Amino acid sequence: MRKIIAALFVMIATSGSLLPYNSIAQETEQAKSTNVKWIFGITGGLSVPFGNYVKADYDNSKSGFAKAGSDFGVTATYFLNKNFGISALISYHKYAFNGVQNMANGLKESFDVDSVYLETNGDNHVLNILVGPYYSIPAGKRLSVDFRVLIGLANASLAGNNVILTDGGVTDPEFYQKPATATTFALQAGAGLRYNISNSFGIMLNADYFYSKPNFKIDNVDRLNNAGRKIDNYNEPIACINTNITLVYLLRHK
Amino acid sequence: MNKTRIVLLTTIMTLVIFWSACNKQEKAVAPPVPGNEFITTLKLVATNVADSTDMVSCAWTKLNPNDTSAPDTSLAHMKLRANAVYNVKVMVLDETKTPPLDITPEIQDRENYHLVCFTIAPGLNLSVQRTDHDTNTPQHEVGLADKFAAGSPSSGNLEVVLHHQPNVKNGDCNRGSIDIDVNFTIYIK
Repeated sequence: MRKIIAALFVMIATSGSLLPYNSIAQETEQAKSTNVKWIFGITGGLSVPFGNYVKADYDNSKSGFAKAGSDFGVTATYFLNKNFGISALISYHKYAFNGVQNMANGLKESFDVDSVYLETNGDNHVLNILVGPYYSIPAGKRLSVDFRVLIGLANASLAGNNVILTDGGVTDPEFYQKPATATTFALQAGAGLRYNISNSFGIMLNADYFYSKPNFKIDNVDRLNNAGRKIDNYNEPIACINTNITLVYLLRHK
Repeated sequence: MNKTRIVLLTTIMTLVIFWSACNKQEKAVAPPVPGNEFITTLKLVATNVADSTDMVSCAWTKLNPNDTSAPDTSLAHMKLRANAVYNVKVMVLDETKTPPLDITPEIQDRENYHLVCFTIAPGLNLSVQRTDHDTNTPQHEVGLADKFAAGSPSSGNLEVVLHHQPNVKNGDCNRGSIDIDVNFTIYIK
């Protein structure tokens, strides 16, 4: 993660120093794309998590049983000069479930029962409020390459589950792992290719790395016996790559 | 429709498709798996606390638990000395395997949801106390290790039931399902 942040800063710094050599000839053409004062955006796309959060190994208490999902948000960027600005992002990542059948099979083995019915409860999601520096490099009349490094807060939710065991024709009372929530710091860094369709609208393709490590405290309800997978807390990173399309509205200097 | 509108609409539709793709709960059922081992035999091995040479045992066997034939009870009886105390081990076997498979360690591994219960027929002067405990919170007795206290001479039936109590074990015998239910004749002389 540190390497990614360092690389982004190096890219921003380097691009800034090279800009005078590249931009002189194109200054007139690019004038339109660099007189932006505000950018407002609606963004959405694919969020692909990795690490323990996506593992579906029943015997590993670090397994998060999540998989790729969607990512939506709104963003606003205020330009302090023609290249540099401050950006804010409110985004929501939602992840699908991975290996629910593994979990049911594991519980069946752990409790040595005839069958297990397992239903997920709640969902895996992260709501973020992030702010940070934004740097835009014009790359043509309508095109620019934009970079951002954002930090802030993430409110994350970990799905729970409801389990019913049946053995020897006897169905036992349901037990639950309640959905859990936790708030922690988050970081997002990435780059985007912005194309201005008109004077006011543009489309942007973004790729961002996101990281947070919420510490979930988990309530287990009606769990009478110490058997089977039972986790009381979950403190693994939620790290993902978000690839988004952003619809942007541009407010320009008059 | 101009180019800007087409691009805007396409983008919004793409965002909606992404959003709707991830909105669902999931369910899973782990069904019965064929080929689980049978419990064919339940055996009691009793050792006199005061005299370790006084070791007796009894066994109840039914090689196919699913058929209607009578179990083999030829060894389902045990003689205990009057006024003696015995340490008793309960053993659970699958004798359809060669050599017979001892399932007792597996039951011990799963002691948090297994319970052995004893029912002593009226007239049989015997008391039974389970001596092993599981790791539940709070702990409960298991019953694979027991203390039998024989009283004055008598005889009668001792019913031994291995209960399977996944997530319902609380020390009560009337919960869960039954793995095996057998009867022994005990003679105290």
